[in-house]
Amino acid sequence: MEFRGSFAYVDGDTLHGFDEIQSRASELKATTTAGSTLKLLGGTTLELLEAIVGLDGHSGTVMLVPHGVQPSKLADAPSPATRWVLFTSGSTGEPKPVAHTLASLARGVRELDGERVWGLVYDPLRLAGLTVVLQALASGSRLVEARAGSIVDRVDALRTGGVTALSATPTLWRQILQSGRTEGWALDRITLGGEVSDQLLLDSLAAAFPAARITHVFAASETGVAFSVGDGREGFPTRYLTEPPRGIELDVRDGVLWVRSPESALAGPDGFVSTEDVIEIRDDRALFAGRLSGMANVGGTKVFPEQVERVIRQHPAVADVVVTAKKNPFSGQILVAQVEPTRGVATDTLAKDLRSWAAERLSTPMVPAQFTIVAELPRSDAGKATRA
Amino acid sequence: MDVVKQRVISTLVDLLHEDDIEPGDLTDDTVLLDTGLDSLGLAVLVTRLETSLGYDPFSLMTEAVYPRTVGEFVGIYEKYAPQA
Repeated sequence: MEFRGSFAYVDGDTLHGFDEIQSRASELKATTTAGSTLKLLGGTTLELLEAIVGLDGHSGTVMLVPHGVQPSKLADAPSPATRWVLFTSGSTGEPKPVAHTLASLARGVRELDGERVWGLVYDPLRLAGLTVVLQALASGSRLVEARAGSIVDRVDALRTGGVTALSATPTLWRQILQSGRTEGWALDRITLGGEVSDQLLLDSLAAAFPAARITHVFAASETGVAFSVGDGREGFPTRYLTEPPRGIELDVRDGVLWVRSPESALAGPDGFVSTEDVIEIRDDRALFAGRLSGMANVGGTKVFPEQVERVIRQHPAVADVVVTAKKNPFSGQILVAQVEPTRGVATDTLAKDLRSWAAERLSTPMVPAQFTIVAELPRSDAGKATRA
Repeated sequence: MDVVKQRVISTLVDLLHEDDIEPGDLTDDTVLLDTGLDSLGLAVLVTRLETSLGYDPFSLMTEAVYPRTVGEFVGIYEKYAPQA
């Protein structure tokens, strides 16, 4: 196996560097599965007592973390020549390597009271998954993995394992709500991240899991910076722009959200990095219009596929939708939609109905030229809807 | 009427119906923009035809051609139809 990136492991308070890992590579590899997948020691339900060892073709993490290591210790640990390199999910292109410090990795970890069982639905070799793993480690909780299989299987695995806290993408949460298996599931902590959370989804989750505390996270994986919003409303309060949440300074420049992350390699002289997220201010709320890279130009009008998706998702027959831009000889680009219908609805006239629904609510350039009804939307390993 | 022409005309008629326009008599000489297609209508039509016919003749052209009439538009699709 070829190593890309650098690896480090934590053993108590001691950090071991890349060279040592390399000299022990054969020994460590013995605990990984063949190929490129990570094996969680202990099977699907993991008592996080000793080790997580993962090496895949893209990135690697080697951590030996004893039970009960506190996040403050992880964050405070010295970080000598050691580099942690995690790859972004690559939902908007090639996965990019991002260097982290222990402090930046532990930043998403919260000190929480109470007993919880965490569900792991993300790749633990990416930041989102590693944050869940560290969270479980930090609070000495059990971690239940449910990364593969049908959505029904995954929900059943999480419930059988007694999961009470779960972090997932909005795309995956919509699938979970669709699975028909959520009745009576006593989740007490729900986190959404990795994609934009819309009001409809936040409301649906609140209705399905009345006891859960629901937060949505804004993270720029390129910077390791993240802040969360827990008031049940989409977007974030505009006062965050003047009162930095958890000390994270935000700024909107030419409609794009920037965060201050001086240690990031991408930071400008003032320490700010662009998140590439386009922001729209409405009253006291900053809402996400879409990704700068995903902006389309339809007949001279700039449109964001995400805004169109948000409107189409409100149709009762739509479980989820992905809107993409296509090249067009007459308009430069044009939008097309792939729709996964709600279980059991008739779909014979759905494409037509959705087009008139969209036409009534959106300006002409935003109306997709074509609606394709699919059994299942394309989704990445990271649980995001793919726009490729 | 051959298959390509039939498909182009029926896709156009469907599209007009969706926009609540009653297509009049469509002949080869009908000017496309007189059918009631709005400014993005042609773009929509080409997108749908690419799905149903499997090709977009405009992307296969080396020089840009802008058809004025229904007949010219159909002609382009017939010209670039994959040879069986």
